[in-house]
Amino acid sequence: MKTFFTDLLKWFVIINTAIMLVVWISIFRYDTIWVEIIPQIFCASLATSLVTTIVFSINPKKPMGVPVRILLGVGHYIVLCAIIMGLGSLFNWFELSLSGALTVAGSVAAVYFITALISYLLSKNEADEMTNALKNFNED
Amino acid sequence: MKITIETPMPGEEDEIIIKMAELNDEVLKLVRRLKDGVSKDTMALYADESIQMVPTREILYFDATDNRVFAYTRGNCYETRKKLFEIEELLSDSSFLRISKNAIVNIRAIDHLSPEFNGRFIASLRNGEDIIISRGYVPELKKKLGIGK
Repeated sequence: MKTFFTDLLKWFVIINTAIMLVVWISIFRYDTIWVEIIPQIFCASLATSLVTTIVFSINPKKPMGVPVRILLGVGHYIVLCAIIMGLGSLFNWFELSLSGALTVAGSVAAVYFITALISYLLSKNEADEMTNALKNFNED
Repeated sequence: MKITIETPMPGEEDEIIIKMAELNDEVLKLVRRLKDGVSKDTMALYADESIQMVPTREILYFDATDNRVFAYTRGNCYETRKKLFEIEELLSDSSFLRISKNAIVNIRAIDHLSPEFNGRFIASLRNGEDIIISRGYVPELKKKLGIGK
């Protein structure tokens, strides 16, 4: 349970940062920004980080194959889109139209990409450090 | 401590006698290893109906499935009657390390590590197999490799 909440906090920080970044880029189009957007972003970050934590808590015994990974990723992305569309329409973030839905899908894809990239780069550094240490260990 | 090794008479069974006022943990561990046929160097493993003494350095990893524990070498899969925690304890001061709830790996058999999502890592073994290192066991692995806190 402790691990779950640690993960939730980690994903909340990463996703929230990514949403803020996307919002920051988006608001260049507007002259003003409404104050309520901050708690609304927190709410969206919490909902999406909750789903992300649940998805990533799947603990397979063997590494997943590429098709399974793709399926899981697509499913995860669709759920995130549905959450943001639902909250977005509730908070009047976008118009309920095809172009509005496409904007959300594009924004979620951008957040998804940034989040995945941050997470991958952090883990890759750690893996490389351990592989190097492994080589030294085997040479001893 | 005095250690005496005698050659048995022809036809006489091999025997180990321990004479101690009090058995300490180290000696008890040694007795268990002798009884179980497990040492740092070899391990008694089951293949089909036969028991084989397999050098531990040849074992790539141990895997627990459905309450059975299997040992994998480059070309073979053996079964052991020991529980995973017992193997972990017996091989604690070797290159073997627990990496998940159901696996113990020989670190020397790992070729490289790559990231899996959510803090887990994939250990690619020298025989081409991939196994998962759970996040909870990563600090211990780092410690063993000399990069942990």
